Amino acid sequence: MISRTRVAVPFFFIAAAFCVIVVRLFIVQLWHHEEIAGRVAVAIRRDRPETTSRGKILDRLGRTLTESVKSYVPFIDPSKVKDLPAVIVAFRRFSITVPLDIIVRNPRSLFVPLDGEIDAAAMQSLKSLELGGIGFTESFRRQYPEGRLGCHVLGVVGRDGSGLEGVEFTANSYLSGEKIRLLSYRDGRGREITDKLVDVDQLSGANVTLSIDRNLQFIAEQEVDKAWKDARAKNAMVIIQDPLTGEILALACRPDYNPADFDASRAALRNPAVSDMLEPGSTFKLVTLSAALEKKVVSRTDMIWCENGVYTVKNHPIRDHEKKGLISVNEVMNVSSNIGTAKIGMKLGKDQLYQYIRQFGFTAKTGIDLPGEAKGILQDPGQWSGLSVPIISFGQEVAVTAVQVINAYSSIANGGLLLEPKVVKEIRTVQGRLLSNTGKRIIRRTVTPAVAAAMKEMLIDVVEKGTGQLAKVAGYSVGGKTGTAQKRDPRTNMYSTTNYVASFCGIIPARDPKLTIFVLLDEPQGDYYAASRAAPVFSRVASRAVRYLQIPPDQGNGS
Amino acid sequence: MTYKYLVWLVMAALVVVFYVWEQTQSVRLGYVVDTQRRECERWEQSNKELRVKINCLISLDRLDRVAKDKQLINPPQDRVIYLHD
Repeated sequence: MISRTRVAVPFFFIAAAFCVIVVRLFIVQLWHHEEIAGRVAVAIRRDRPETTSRGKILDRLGRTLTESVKSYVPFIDPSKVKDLPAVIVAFRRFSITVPLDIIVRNPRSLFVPLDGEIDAAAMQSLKSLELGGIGFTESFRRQYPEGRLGCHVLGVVGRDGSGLEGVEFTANSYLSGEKIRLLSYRDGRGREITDKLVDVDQLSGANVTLSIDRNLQFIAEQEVDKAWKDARAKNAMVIIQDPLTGEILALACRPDYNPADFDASRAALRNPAVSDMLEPGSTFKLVTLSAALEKKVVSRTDMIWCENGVYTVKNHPIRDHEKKGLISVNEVMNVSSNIGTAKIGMKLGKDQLYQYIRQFGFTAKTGIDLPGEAKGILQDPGQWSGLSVPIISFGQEVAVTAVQVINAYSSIANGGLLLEPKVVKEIRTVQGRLLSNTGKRIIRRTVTPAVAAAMKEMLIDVVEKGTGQLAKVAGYSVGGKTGTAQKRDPRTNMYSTTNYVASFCGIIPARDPKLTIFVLLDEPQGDYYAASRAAPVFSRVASRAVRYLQIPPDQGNGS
Repeated sequence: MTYKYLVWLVMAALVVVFYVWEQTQSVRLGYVVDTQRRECERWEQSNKELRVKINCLISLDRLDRVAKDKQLINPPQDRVIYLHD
């Protein structure tokens, strides 16, 4: 039989021990709860900001133009490095130099960042060496699989991951991923468990689909590069627009830059197609002639006396490249007569000329979704001199952007509607939810469909019989206008006799336009005429573009 | 009477042991989930990097450069057949 005392004594001690534990638990868990919980939280909780990936930029067919991939920036904790020479050798394999001077100067430092970024595979291979004292901070690096292609449209991203230029800037709020904080707990061995399972990829920035077609962009890049080098021009650009929707299909400028490493070429970051203004010269005659036809000031068959090449207005001689006498309005456009256009402009009058310049979208931003767009310059009619009407009529004393010019030509191509040019087609989340869809947006009607059709015929004549003959494309009807504009010399404030801008803006197929193409060469050396410099570039770009887009030929001799 | 107390004590101990075991398993599972998540992230990242590499390798600019290096010449426009995706 078990004695009650023999049972009671150990039972008493066990009960007493339990009581001590309970009291201790009471003190720890309740009495000093806040203080101890705070100390524990500091020791085990890790609350850190998590960078989510920036969205992709895709071309109109979903081909990647830029995307972000994770990269790792290594750092060294000198106090934990076991074998410094081995660490130096390991990093040298990835072209990363270990700053020995900093380590020697600060031996107690716990964090010495290294200058360089590596990918996940390189990071794993370094980790597997188990050298000790090596760590990595994560970041995202923008990758451009197509290199410089479309750099002026894509733009660049700064070190802080925000867009600085191009679509990267305008769509920055969509492209930037959500800023989140990840809470995790560490155990005694430093292992982590995240508090809540968050799929960071689901929070990454939205994908932006552009209206740009990668292949058309490549064609434009190749041709603008060749033209820029051949002409030894200061700048050059080729823009392709869909005149029916206003979408920009390609926009290539020279000089260009590498968006992944733009520090060395900051001057080229500016997008000349939207930011640079220049006097358009004869391409502007489209506005004067359209206004004159619309207001029935002249008809295409009316005859204009072109003064045999020199016409003096307010003691200022206006000259024609080709000396002409009595020619029709149609021929005025064909031979690009400044005198004929000046006389038509004077018939039209100051107010109506000004009204139509505005109607075609000049002097106002087109609304293109690229940053830094200029409005253009045109003085208020109240400040115009007696010479203004005639010379503005053929594109002097007015400054416009390349996008304004192509947009005005597209309005003639589509039957008289001025559309808002666009480079962003749509924006979708990673899960595919549509956030924004930029459809066709009509700004206003510029001219009636009948006048637009008449203007198209005149533009076709320019290419068939006039100054734009080198713009022809076999098998296709082409309409367009050349423009050889003298540049203003900033030193003398007079028109330069050495610096010119050669441009050509055309539509193809002209009778059922599918593409508007603008070519510009700023300060071409040697031959500076648009007819021989810009028109052939149009021809090359257009012939490749129509074949790529499988636009059927509309003239008999097509191949 | 004492036997009854002992039974209760053992049962209480079993409940406590079960609770501790369940908590330990939960923490262990947390580690497994986190490890798998990191592994998954790594594979996804690796997949993304490989896709970027593919895009770089088939980029038009690179193909053009390779063609030039191999001294290939541009064909006449009427001999070009455009392939669509």
